[in-house]
Amino acid sequence: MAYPQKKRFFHRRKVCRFCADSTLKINYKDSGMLKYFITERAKIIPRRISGTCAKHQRELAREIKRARTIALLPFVGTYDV
Amino acid sequence: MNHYETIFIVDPDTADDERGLIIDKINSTFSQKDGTLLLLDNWGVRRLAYEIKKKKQGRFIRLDYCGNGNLVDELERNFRLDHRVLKFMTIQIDKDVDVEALKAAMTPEEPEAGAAETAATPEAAEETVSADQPTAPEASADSETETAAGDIAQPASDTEEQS
Repeated sequence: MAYPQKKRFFHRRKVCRFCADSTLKINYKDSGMLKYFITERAKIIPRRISGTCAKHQRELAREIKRARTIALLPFVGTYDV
Repeated sequence: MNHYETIFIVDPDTADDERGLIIDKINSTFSQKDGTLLLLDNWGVRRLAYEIKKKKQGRFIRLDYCGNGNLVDELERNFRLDHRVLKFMTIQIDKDVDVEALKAAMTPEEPEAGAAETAATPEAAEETVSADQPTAPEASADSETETAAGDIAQPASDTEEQS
């Protein structure tokens, strides 16, 4: 064998969606968009999964928490939704 | 004067004229405490993400205004006293704004908070600068991130519906 046994993962280059598309604004009123960044249980998806950059993840977390405060997003999701 | 945004949720079972009373009260507060109401935005009745006072729906009303801290205090005090208001939230959009400039920015285009933000704030100006930077969007990688996020975020468009 030419290659030794090595772990070879396929790394996808994750790109922060808000850096790629600067027209996207993170705003708590846009709950439809924020839904992409929460799980079924309504947890915020970590940036190692979503690929969001640190700056935008901070904004995202703040806006998700605002949306939760005013009942646009849930604090806890339901199991069967 | 600061630029604020308040969203409050009114009990959907209140009659229209009763809601008019709440809005009258808000208007009188504005004239008392020397504030400028830029926009009163009624979102209609929407489903709440969680129950508040046993209600599953609520009427969302957004206020976009300029004023000082004592105006916010008074508004929130009234919301707290009023049992028809289920919940409210105030956000400071910007500090020390020029009211006339904001008004001018509001009127010609569609009244959107984001538009007003871009018009008058140094912070927003900075934002536009960074937005202008040429970023190379890698199309394939981007779509992959979307699917990854989409898998987990199943429950879409539930709270979106308006009636």
